[in-house]
Amino acid sequence: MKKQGWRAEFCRLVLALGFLSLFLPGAAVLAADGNALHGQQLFSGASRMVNGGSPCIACHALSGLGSAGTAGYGPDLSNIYADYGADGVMAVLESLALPSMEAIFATRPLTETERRDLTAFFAQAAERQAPPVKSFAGLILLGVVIVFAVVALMGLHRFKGARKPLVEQAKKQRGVMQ
Amino acid sequence: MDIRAQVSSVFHLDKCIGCHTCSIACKNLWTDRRGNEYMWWNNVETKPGTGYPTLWEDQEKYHGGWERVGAQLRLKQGGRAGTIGKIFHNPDLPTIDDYYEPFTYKYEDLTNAPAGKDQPTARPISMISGKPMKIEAGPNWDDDLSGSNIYAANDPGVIQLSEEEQQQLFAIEKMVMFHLPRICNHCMNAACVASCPSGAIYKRGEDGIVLINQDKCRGWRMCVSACPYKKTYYGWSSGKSEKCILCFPRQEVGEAPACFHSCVGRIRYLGVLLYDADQIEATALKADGELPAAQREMILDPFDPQVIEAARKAGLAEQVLEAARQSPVYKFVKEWGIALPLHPEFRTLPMLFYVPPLLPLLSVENNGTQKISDDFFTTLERARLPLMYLAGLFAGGNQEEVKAVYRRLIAVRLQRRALSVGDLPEEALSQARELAGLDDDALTAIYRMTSLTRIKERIVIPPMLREQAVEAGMDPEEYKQGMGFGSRKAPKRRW
Repeated sequence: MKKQGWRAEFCRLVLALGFLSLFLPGAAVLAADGNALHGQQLFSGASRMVNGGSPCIACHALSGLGSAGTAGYGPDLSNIYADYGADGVMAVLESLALPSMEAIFATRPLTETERRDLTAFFAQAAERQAPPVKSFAGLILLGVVIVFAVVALMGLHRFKGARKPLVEQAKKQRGVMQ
Repeated sequence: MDIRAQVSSVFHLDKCIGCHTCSIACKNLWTDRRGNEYMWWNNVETKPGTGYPTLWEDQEKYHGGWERVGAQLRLKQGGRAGTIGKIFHNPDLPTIDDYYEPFTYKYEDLTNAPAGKDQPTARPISMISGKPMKIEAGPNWDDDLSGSNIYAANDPGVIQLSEEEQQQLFAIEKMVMFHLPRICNHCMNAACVASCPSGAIYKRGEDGIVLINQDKCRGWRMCVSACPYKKTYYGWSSGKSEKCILCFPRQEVGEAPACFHSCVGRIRYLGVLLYDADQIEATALKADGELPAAQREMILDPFDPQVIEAARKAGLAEQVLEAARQSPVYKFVKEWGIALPLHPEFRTLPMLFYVPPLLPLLSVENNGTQKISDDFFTTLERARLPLMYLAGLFAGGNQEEVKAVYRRLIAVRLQRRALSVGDLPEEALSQARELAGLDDDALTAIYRMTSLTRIKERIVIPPMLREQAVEAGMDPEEYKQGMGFGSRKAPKRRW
């Protein structure tokens, strides 16, 4: 309990600091001059994060990356730039204090260049105004159900047993005698 | 010629009283561990009956053993592709109900139950679920119940008989049954070895004992279905398959295997046989009825100088050859020809042989008193068991094999009757001897081996010479320091 309280406290502090940083002058300027191509490579995992963080594509969906960009663990990031703007995105990338991301990025923070490149990439993605990514989850679930159903059908008469049918047969024929 | 030595056995069925001492000795020694409660490396079943597990002889159901495909042998459960195809869902396994649900009794209730109006009872408890259960089957459920319309009537050996023969088996006052003790046959052409996807099963070079390497076994259970005798079992706690090891740790120190040692009826004989491994495939390809004779053909005469020479070349030790010369199994199988393999038509070339039962004399009622029937010795025509039934069990359907054995056993009976009662004409005796093809000395020797011998004559364990076997592969000193107790290899994954 005590430990959890400490963590929540810490999260709140980091979020507050992140929020304050939005008002820092120059943040928007930094975002504009990122390398969008490198940002895409970072997002898709084609280049590594300097501090060893995992690529965004592992958890997040983003349109324009084909079916590789349809992960559904985190929210869809196609429109993050449109929603939060350069300052917002930069701030979030700095701390990444969300509960499921903190575990990875608290010890492997993104460098400033990386943040800038990613923001530029998000800005570029937003320009395309692509519709949100279609999720394949329903299809995948259906596929899994079908596979299981086929396996269950195949195994329906698998272990017939030898003794029980003999007993049943004898019961049918005449009085039971074991 | 590729001469090998094999520790093999003979079970004399006329002497088996069905007391299950062998099963208990084995259970207490090897399979009383958790997850192994249901397995009986040694079991005694009643014939006619469906056995343990139910209908194990029915290979149309379990697909065990080998079959001939053209001029080749193939596992009945399928070749390599077939094995891999069903590696995750082997459809030929017996269910736990076909073995039986192992149970114990809640004995503590007998002493700890609170005082009440009724006597406390010990209720049966499942050893799988731990809950009270209704006992519906056991490993010897058809014991002495050979008229049962479930178990005896469905014996695969009975079903193939004619209507008339079936009536003979189950006729009132003439009903007939016998006990069939079974352990692993340590086959020359073992189907379990061939079926193992992990290569964990092997036949020990020096004595032919078939073992499962517990380090290599991955628990695929292909051996369970491939063994036509259903003598490999899956250990539910260890996740590995296990089988009869012919008590090799006991044999290595010169002790008889536990089931042999404890046998009350002294029905079990053990000794070394020499055989020619080059002939295994050709022999296993013979027609069903020719298999018992072909298998006898493979077993070599340990007194033949040529065989001795070849055996020395193959690296067999002098002590093993000496043990082979004293082997009672050689006498039963080759010299006297009165022991036959169980279900040779499974083509695994089992190395456990059975003397078929002649069965006790039949008594007849005569004015209110029971008397031994007039033809006290069973003649072939008056055999109590249909010969076809025995031929189905021990000779791949070849009645001539069973007849030959019976003629010899009858000759022994006649000779003993002539000696102890003296009411038989000499010509009856000589006629029986001629039919049997055995002389007076051989008959006496059979009588002696059957009834008078002590354990050292019945069970001739060859020196296992483990130190020499180890020496062949590595420095014995290194082996002693390096191997230690228990598992020979540390698990690969360790963290």
